[in-house]
Amino acid sequence: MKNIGLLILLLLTQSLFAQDKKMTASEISHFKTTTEKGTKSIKTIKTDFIQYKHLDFLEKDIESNGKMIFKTPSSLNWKYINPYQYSITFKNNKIYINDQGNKSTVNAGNNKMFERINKLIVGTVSGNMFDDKEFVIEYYKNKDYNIAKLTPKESALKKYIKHVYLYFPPNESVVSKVKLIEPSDDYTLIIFKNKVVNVPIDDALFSN
Amino acid sequence: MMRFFLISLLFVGFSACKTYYPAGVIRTEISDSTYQNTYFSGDSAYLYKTQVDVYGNQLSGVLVIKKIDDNTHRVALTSAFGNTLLDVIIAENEMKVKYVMDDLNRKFLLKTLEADFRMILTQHHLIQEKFVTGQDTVYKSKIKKEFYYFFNSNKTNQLYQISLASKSKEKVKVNITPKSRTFAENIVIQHYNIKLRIELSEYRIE
Repeated sequence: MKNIGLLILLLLTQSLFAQDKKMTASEISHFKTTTEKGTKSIKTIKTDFIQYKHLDFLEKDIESNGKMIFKTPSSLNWKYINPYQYSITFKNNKIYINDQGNKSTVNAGNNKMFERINKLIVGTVSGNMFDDKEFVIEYYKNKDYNIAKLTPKESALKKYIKHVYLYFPPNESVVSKVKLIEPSDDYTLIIFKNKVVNVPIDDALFSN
Repeated sequence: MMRFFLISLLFVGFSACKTYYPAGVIRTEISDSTYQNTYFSGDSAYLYKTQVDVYGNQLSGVLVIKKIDDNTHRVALTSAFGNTLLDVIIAENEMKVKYVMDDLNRKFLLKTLEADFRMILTQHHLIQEKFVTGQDTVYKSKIKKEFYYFFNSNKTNQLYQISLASKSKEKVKVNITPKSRTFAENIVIQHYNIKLRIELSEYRIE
């Protein structure tokens, strides 16, 4: 009886793992080439997002939402609208924060950690991550997504991030979901919606 | 001259030793030996938008509070971006830190936050004295060398203010806006001996 239970558990576990299959070497090469090629044609991205923060002791994730704009080479603005107003802008190696009217600036170039976070976020959004020396990258796929799993190499970043999962719908070079897993296994899931690429975005919008 | 100086000194000394009491309270007889704070006593999680002002620096995020049992609560603070800054279990006699971000891992800060959380979370208090004002009944309890005053509105029969004082002066004031018996929609924790203010408001998606 005990063995049957074990067998069912084993089958269940296998079928769970079976959902995300590791890509083969040729699949990885194809995915990287097409994504990088697609990314090169992207000049701007404008999208809404919904964020779910998962804490293991909560039955329901904490939800927030907002808007994100991106312009090459590396201007990025996240604006949380609901239920709080908080905006963070990455531009010219500087980080501008507007926390409900309280404005501040961080020089990311003077701060290794912020520089890494800046690079990670810009890379994550633009999908231009694959040659990053700071992460071990593994590639998976399931019927809905191609998935890049990033694991930081350096202990400074490992303290904050265990893994980052980037989800690309098949034949798309812009991520549609990002999952940041913390060392405690709590995570933040960001889902992009109403995405528009290559619409003109005024530079003035990248300020706080 | 010397005599005047000594009298002044004595006067200053006496004023400094004057026992602190909230303004306008009149001592009355104790009828109940305990006071119960009913906030955070429900089983669901309580979520707050959180704004911390500490020595001119602002930090905003989300505070999550969940009751585990009568004397224990899980408390987590996340940044606006979502990453966990602090995750603790506050039990009757200890605080267990499950996670704290390196930059916040300072003994003084953790002790201060623990004391602040205890002020709003602790449900049962042994009453030492009881006072009345025109509108309120005020319960005083003593923990170690500090005094807690719980202001209960006679009109609503709800706790709306907690004051923490040493023997001689008020150190922290908590203002509470009740929404129900177990839920406060707004809580402001104002410190007077350090530059710290914590403001919590109901987390609600419009």
